Amino acid sequence: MNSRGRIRQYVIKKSAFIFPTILGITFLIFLLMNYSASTSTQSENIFYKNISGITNILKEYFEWIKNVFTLDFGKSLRDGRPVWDKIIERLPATLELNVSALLMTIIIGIPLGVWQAYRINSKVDKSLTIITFIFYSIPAFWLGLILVILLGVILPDITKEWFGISLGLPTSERRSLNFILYPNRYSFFQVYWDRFLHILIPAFTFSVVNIATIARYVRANMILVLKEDYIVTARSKGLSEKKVLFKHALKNSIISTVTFISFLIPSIIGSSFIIEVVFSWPGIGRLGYNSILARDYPVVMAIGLIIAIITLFSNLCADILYYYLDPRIRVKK
Amino acid sequence: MRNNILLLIILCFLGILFITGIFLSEKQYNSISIIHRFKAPSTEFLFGTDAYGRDIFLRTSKALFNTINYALLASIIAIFIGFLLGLIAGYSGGIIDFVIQTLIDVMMSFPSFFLILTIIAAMPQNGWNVIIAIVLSTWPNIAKITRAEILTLKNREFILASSTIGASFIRIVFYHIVPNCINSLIITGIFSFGGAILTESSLSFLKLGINEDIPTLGNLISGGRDVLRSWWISTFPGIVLFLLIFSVNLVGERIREFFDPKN
Repeated sequence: MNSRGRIRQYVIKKSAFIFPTILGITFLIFLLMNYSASTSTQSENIFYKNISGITNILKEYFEWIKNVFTLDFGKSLRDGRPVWDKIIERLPATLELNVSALLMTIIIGIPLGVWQAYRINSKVDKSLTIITFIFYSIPAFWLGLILVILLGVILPDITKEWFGISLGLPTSERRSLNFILYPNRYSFFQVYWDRFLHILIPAFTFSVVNIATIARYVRANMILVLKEDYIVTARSKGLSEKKVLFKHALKNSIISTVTFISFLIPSIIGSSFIIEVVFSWPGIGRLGYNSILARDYPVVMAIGLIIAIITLFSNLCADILYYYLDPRIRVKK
Repeated sequence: MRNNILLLIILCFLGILFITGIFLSEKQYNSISIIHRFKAPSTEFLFGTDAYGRDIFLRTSKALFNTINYALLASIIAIFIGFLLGLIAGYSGGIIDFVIQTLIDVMMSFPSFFLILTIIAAMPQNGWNVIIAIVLSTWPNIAKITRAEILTLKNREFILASSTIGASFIRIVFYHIVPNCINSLIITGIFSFGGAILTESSLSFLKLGINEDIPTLGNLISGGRDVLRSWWISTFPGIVLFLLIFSVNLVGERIREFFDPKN
């Protein structure tokens, strides 16, 4: 079998697991949400339907599945709006935050780890090891809250007292109120600068733990790679250190790093709930949190489904990427 | 070496707080006083006071005690369940192994925090919901590690020898398997304990965890969310939480280095 046929088979085998997983997860959420809705006092809600009995629950669940294929997730129990609309308007914010946090993690974390491994046991490496260990242990929600207090409350207070103008970084929402109310007054550049300032602290808080995790992993991995024989060969051939490091060492350690990042994705999506709540970020996470609190199960089900799809497909993509990056897997039968 | 001294100082500090927490009565850490609302840290109130005039130092020390208790209970249950399922999967093989392994893969590939939130929301808020949530998110990791250990141990000669001379399954497990995988179990257990502390505080911070009347570190940090100008309310419990997670991780790291045959 040629390599393309094998990868097709591999993808089919992997994706065969995705659909039962998604079904299982959504059914579990459906049961839980129905149970909690029936125990709470939602019966006065006009959108609320009381379902009891296992056959009715199954019937209702299959009805839901049938509707999902036509992108009809039902109506929210809180305001009667279609769930799909509510999610679509929140999705860009979540993607913006998650993607920028992931990029920040990769751009800062991997070079940090490489540099540490290259200068192993130097003063820089030792102090960076301690710093990444501290970052690794900081609870993200607390760091977020402290940054909100420092940059959003105390810094404006101090600058107002000293210089007469309150300077601080925005710590909630995605855009300033003025930009939402009067969108025509501002130039393209101003709008994007405002959005950049808003995403800066949430994305930083988001990526602190991940930067530390990635840097620690890359460091440990690079140390092993740098001891390999082919690195010695490359050096003795007279290659420049830059070439040895980036062309020979990093290329080989990137394979396991990709897998490692794909393992991180579920936890990144999971922590986006807390970060979005701390920074009042108008994304899926905050919508999900509020919906869970309100037992608004059509919304919760839809978010659960979307998260499951995003996670499982990103895992699948990582698998395929891994397959392409590592020639050993392709050649081996 | 300097790291170890730092770790020792942190552990002493946490230990003193923890011991204070044991002996505090509810009257001491829960006494409300309107005159002392929002007092900044001073010699009278070391960490300041909160919106009800309660002493944050005393509350933090009780919260540390509570948080450690909840996290310890949850991680012990998680280790027990994870070890048991990993043992069954690794030892029996076949269809049981397949089922458990699929379950582990599913749990590990799905962002369990969302599942935890829905589980928590569906259950009465009595503390057990948090413990169940932590157990559910922790056991797959432990089961996976145990299973891998068992698979390498299962076919070794000494296991075969003892089962040939008629040792029972329980004897093999307790005399031959447990002592051989205790190292990795201890290390995973310590890191799971750290994770349990973080999960408990995150849930309490989101007001979904332990009941707000019971001081836990997450609840105390959450108390400062609406009164940001009184920065001390969430700062000090947060520092204690950070030190706790930091020291647990550092102890885990040291033990891993200790068990590592390369050193």
